[in-house]
Amino acid sequence: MAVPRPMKLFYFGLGLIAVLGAFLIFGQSRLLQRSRSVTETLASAPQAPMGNVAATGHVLGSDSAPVEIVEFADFECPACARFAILEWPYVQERLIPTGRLRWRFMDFPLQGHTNSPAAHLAAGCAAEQGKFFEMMDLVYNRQNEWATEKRPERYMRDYARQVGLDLSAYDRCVETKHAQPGVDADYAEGEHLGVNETPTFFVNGREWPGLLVYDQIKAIVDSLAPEGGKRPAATRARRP
Amino acid sequence: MAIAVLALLGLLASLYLLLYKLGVVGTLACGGSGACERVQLSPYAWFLGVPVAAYGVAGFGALLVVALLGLGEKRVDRAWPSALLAVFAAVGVCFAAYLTYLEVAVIHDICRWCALCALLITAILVLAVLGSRSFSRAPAR
Repeated sequence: MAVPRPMKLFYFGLGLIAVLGAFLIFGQSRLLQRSRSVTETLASAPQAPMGNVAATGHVLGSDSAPVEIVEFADFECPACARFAILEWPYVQERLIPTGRLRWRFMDFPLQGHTNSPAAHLAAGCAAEQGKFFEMMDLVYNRQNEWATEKRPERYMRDYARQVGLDLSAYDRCVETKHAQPGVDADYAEGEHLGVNETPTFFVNGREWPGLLVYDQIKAIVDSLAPEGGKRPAATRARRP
Repeated sequence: MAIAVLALLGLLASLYLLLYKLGVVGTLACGGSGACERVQLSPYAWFLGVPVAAYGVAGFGALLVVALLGLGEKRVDRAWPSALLAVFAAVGVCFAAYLTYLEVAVIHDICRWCALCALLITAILVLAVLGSRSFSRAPAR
């Protein structure tokens, strides 16, 4: 049975709205970037003018690793937590120990995320005891627990205890905000580079357009530092 | 027809919030206030262990399906699609009212996307009730 002309127009309009809406949503999701090859994407990305020496971030991996990925992230951001929970464990277990990849986490607490500064300060204090990445894992995994609480510091202290920090040193660090200058320096570096959302990644100084998943990170490392090349021993460093 | 368009808009807005909740969308377009993110990150963004936005996707999706079914040539003069839409929309309005109360009285932040969904579901209820009443007033066939 034929559909009347006005109805055809209506269905066409409805379909148009659906396609346009889906395009806007998925365009923002940044996952569409997956379709391009790693080398193509990196080649088209501009070199970022990095260089604030005070902004060291938190580093995991060999100093001589040929690939460095810098991640600007916010502990209160769900996309950052998703990356930390779903992708980061593989990066940490499978790529960093090969000595081909060094990871640099940069603090970038977004404005409007009211509890994020407390989380970044707490993680900075954990870094002073060499346990930044352990604290980071816990903070991200428990994001739903502390993100909207009035006193996130209470949760952070509990996480500090759970990762085995010396609590008196941790308390002193939080009280005096000893780790705050490092957080501020990272944030300033992000602003300088034009970072305006999280997570934002830079691969060997080139901004990666969008989110990263483990497969892409592996492809990046494989393309820039093929297996079988020189493999420096994996080490870990932290903010001084 | 109008209900189908409104339901589709609601479906898209809910899908956007759900993708944010799942971490697929990095940052919500919310005027830079952070209000949408604070609401979405609150414990009230979950209901019975499921993200609230997922109920929006399911609800608006169901409304869209019923509205499109009701537009079929064989069903266009039947009363049940409008009645079913009114029932679905009434449930949706109650849920939206509860969520809006939480935003205003508990979280103290208004998420624009949630407010849009609340307005859409209210408009759908009004249109569905008007549609049902027009059927009840029409002479029996």
